[in-house]
Order: sequence, then structure tokens, then C-alpha cells
Amino acid sequence: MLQFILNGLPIGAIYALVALSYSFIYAASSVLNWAQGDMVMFGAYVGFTLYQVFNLGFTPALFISMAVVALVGVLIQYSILRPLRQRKAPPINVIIATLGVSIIIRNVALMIWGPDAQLLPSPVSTKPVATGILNITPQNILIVVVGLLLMIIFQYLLKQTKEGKALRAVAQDRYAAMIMGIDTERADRVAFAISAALGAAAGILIAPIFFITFNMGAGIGLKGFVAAVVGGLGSVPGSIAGGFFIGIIEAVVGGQISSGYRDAITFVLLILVLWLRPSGLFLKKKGQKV
Amino acid sequence: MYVKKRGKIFLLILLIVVVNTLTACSSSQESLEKILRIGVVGPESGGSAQLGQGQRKAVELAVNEINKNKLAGEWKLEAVFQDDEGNPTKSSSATNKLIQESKVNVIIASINSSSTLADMVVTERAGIPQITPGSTGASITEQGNKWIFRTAANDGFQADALVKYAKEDLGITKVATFTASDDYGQSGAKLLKNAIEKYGLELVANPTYNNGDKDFKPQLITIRDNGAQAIFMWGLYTEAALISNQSQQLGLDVQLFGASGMAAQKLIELGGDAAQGLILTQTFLPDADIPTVKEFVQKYKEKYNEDPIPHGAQAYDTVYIIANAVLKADSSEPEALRDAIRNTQGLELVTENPTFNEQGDDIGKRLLITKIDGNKFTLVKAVETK
Repeated sequence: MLQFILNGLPIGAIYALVALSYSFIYAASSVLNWAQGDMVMFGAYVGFTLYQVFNLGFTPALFISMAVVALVGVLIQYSILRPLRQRKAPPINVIIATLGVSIIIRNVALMIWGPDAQLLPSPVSTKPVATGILNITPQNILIVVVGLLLMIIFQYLLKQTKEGKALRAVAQDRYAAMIMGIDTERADRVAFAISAALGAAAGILIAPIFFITFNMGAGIGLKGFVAAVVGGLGSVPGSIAGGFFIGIIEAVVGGQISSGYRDAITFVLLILVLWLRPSGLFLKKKGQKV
Repeated sequence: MYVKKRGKIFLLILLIVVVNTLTACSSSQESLEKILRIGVVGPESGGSAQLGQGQRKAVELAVNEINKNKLAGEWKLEAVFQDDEGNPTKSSSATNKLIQESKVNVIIASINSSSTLADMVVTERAGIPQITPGSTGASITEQGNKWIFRTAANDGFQADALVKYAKEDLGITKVATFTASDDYGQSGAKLLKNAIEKYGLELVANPTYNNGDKDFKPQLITIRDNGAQAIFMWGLYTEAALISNQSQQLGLDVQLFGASGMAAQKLIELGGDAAQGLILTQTFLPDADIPTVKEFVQKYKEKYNEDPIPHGAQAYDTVYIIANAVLKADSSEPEALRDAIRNTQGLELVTENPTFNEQGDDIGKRLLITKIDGNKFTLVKAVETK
């Protein structure tokens, strides 16, 4: 049982990063970006290319890839969200538009990197460190540690920087923030950039153990979204808790019941949470945004 | 001016009509020659494009050789190609088109088992012999279809050979199967189970996975806790590589076995360290020390500057089987061709000596048990499929 929980932690950290990225965008602009899962894939591919073509190490590849994908995020905000907002399109239209973006990114990746799975070698060993009955691999420790570090860094930026404060103000009340002279468009762009960068980080962290394929974003994106909803969409601590919660549940269900039912049980859980605690498992009453 | 222009167009049309009739005459004259049309269907684009293109190249090579050296006597072979993208619907309409429009006498189709199954419905209805050089799915030759032949190795033979090898050569007694939950994996699971029972091994766990799954640790822990000495995987290479990696991460001490569907260079690349020593069956290894193989690889390399794939070797042999059949039957009538293919004997080809059984499976084939060693597959043992 402990082994299953341990196995759930790294994938939980990945889900938490993706859940956070949904939450940031939702908190700032009240839309869902369905291309978020594809940011994970794109980040992994950019990291793979940096490694393969430019022989960069893991850390520079991680940061450059996050920056590149953050730019893609800004581009999506600029070319999709902004014009639709200006035309006063309802949020559902924006959501559908991001679904289109997701399909475009996936096909671009297919065109550039082809249909075969690619391998990004791990910077640390993937062989287990012998600890008796339990198995822990350095790669899994790396995922959890880097994942948590990134969450802490972004939390800090959100609390301490001007951009972060603006983002939080917009999340609390967009209209009031606008009256107070906060550039809400700019806040949106920051949210998209941060979310995309978090997704890219998740992609590079997971690539050494799951390989990179052009459609990997679909599964991870959906699970990350479930994690965000279960934890409380729009809430930072809720999304993180939701990510680990889903990761561990999956590992335990897969191990103790059947891996065939793993996804089914995850989604039944989602429905239960929506039914019993509509604002998320880890939130009191109505969700406080960001 | 206007009238003049119209006059020109009229002339042009007249010219086209005349040229067309002339060529039509010449082609009807040609048909007095003995021509055998072979329709070839395969995935030349899409996910399994590499396999379809390998098939096409090998067929073209064989057709050219046979025509050049008059190996089919007075008969001249003509190949017509169609791309099915690995999609059963497109595959059956491509087959239909080849029969209706190109008037082919025999069909080589296809690579993906689901496409081949769809094509068989068309060829059976039209009464045209069909040979698949690439599909291994056991159900293909279990339909009682009189028109289907297979030059790929039936999955049943492969499962049998692997389990037998595990028991007799490696002394393994407790095994687990770990198979994809699709058609291919589940038919493999059934065939493995039969073979495991036949040779008296103990099946301690038989979990499955969905294609596209990334985390196989829960199932691998179950396999480990049940004390399996070997895992027989049946599926495609991406999942097989992940399973190899994760089984190493969990510290499992097992011998891994795989199906021919995983036999790709990508398995070695993605699996890395963890895939070393993985054993699977193939019908063809380009560097095998067998005269017919060497000759084929050399000719193929001269023309295409790359190594042929196993499906290519089987497709190449398939064309030779067809050439031999039309020579023996001296007719392009479907039934005569079919019977001649069924009675194929005495040919010494790349994948050995083709002989078809009642179901249409080639049982004269050599099956190679191969192992991943370094960055290639090496031969461990050759067995007969009889």
C-alpha cells in the first residue's frame, strides 16, 4: 500500500502543476484553456529538441522550454482570448476556441516531431535506490522536489511581485480591478504565460518516464483538470492538493483494484465531488480565488 | 477571333480523342500478351507508413526481377498500389477499387490485421485470391475463407515458439502475461494461455493494459508479488518499452518476451538498458547468415540504400509465390491461381520454403527467436513453424 502511495506522488506532482495552470487562467479570466494539456506536450518536445539538437543539460532545457512555451501561452491570449473579449464573446466561445488551439498545436507537433514516441533521457538515474521492500527512483524524487519548488516559487511571485498582485486583484474582482487602473489584459497575459510555463515544466519532468508523443497532452490535461475541479478550480492550495489526491488515488486503485478501472474510478470520483462539494474537496464554502 | 478559338479547342478535343483511341488500341493489343495484375494494398502514410512503404519497395523489386529474368515464363507481372493509411474502411474500398477498376487478378493486402480482415470480405465476395504478407492476427485464417493466404507468421505459431523456448531452453516455470486490451493483445493473451497450458507452465498473473497507458507499475507489482520468472508482453513497442523501463525501476528480476508487433528499432531506442535481453520472434533478420537472405538484402540495399524490414521480406516472397503460381497454372483465372498458390512447393525463398496449410497459413516458414543485444536484434535460435 505504501509503495502505491509512493508511486502516486510523482504523477500527483505532475497533475498538481497542470491543475495549477488551469486554475491560474480560470482565476484571472474565468475561462478554461483546453490547450493546457498540449502545453505539457509542447514543453516536453521543446526540451527534447534542446537536448537533442543543442546538447543542453536538463536545467537549462527546463528553463528555456518554460520560457518558449510561456511565449506560446501569451500568443494564445493575444490572438484568441483578447479579440474574443473585445467582441464580447461569452466564455463558452473562448473555451471552444482554445479547444481549436489544442488541435492545432497537436497537429503542428505531429508535423514537426512525427508520430513516433521520443525519449528524453533522465538527468538522474531511473534505477531504484534499494530500500528493502519499497522502491524509490531518483527520477521520481526529482519530479516531486522540482514540482514542489516550482509551486513555491510561483506562489511567492504571486504574493510579492506587482504582476502577481495585479493578477490576484483581477482574480478577486475583474471589474473593480479595472476601475482601480489595473491592466486586466496584461494580467490575463501573465496568467497565460505562467500557466503555459507550469505545463511545460510538467512535460519535461514527466518525459523521461512516460516518453513524448504528440497526443500525450490529452490524458494529462484531462487528469489535471479533474484534479483542479476536485481540489477547487481557481484555488492554488486546492489545485495542489487535488493533484496529489488524484495521483495517489489512481496509483492505489490501479494497484489494489484493477488498472482497467483506474480512469473510470477517477471520473466517478469527479462526479461525486461535483455532487457533494461543488466548490471542491479542499475549499470551505465558496471558493476564494487565488 | 472567338470562332477561331473555338475551332482550336475543337481541334484539341479531336486530337485527344484520336490519341485516346490509339492508346486504347495499343493497350488492347497488349492484353493479348499474358499479363498478371497484382493489386497491393498497404499503409503508405499514417502511423504504420514505414511498414507499407517497405512492402511497396519489396514488391517493386520482386516484380522487376521476375519480369527481367522471365521467371514467370510468358507471364508479365504488373503491380498496382493503393494506400489504406492503416484504416480498415479505406483498405476495403481500396481493395474494391483494385478489383473493379484496375481488374487485378490477385491481391496482396494488407499490413494491419484489422485492414486485412476488412479486405478479406471484399476478395471473398469477388472471388479473388488474397495474400497478406504483414498481418499476424490469428483470426484471419480462422474464418474458413478459401481465398486468403498468409506469408506472415501466425501469432499462434509465435506464441507457441516463445513459450516452448522459455520452458525448454531457459527452464522457466512460472510466467505472467501482460497484454494490450485491444484485438491484437487479447488474441495474443489467448494464444499465450493455450501455449502455457500446452507446455505445462504455471500462469501466475495475466493483467492487461490500455494502449496509451503510461503507468504500468500497479500491474508489474502484482506480477512481482506472484513470483513470475518471465513476462510475455503482447502489444506495440511504445508500451513494451515503458513496461521494460518500469519493471527495471521496480527492480523486477524477470525475462521479458514480446510479440513480433514490437520488433522495431524504436523499441531498442526507447527501452534503452531495460530492454536489453528482451526476446521476441521474427521471420527475418537482415544480417542473418543465410544465402537467400544475404542475396535479398544486397539487392534491396543496392536499389533503396537501406535495410529491408521483415514485412518487406515477406512481401518479396509473396510476389515470388504468385509468379510461381501463375507459371504453374498458366492462367490468370482466380480459381486456378488460388489452387496453384495452395499447392506451392519447392521454392527456396528469403523466409524459407513456403507451404500453405488448409487455413492458408504458411507453415514452411522459419521463425527466428531473437534477442535485443546492444542496438540490434540478434539471432538466438531458428525454429520451424511446422
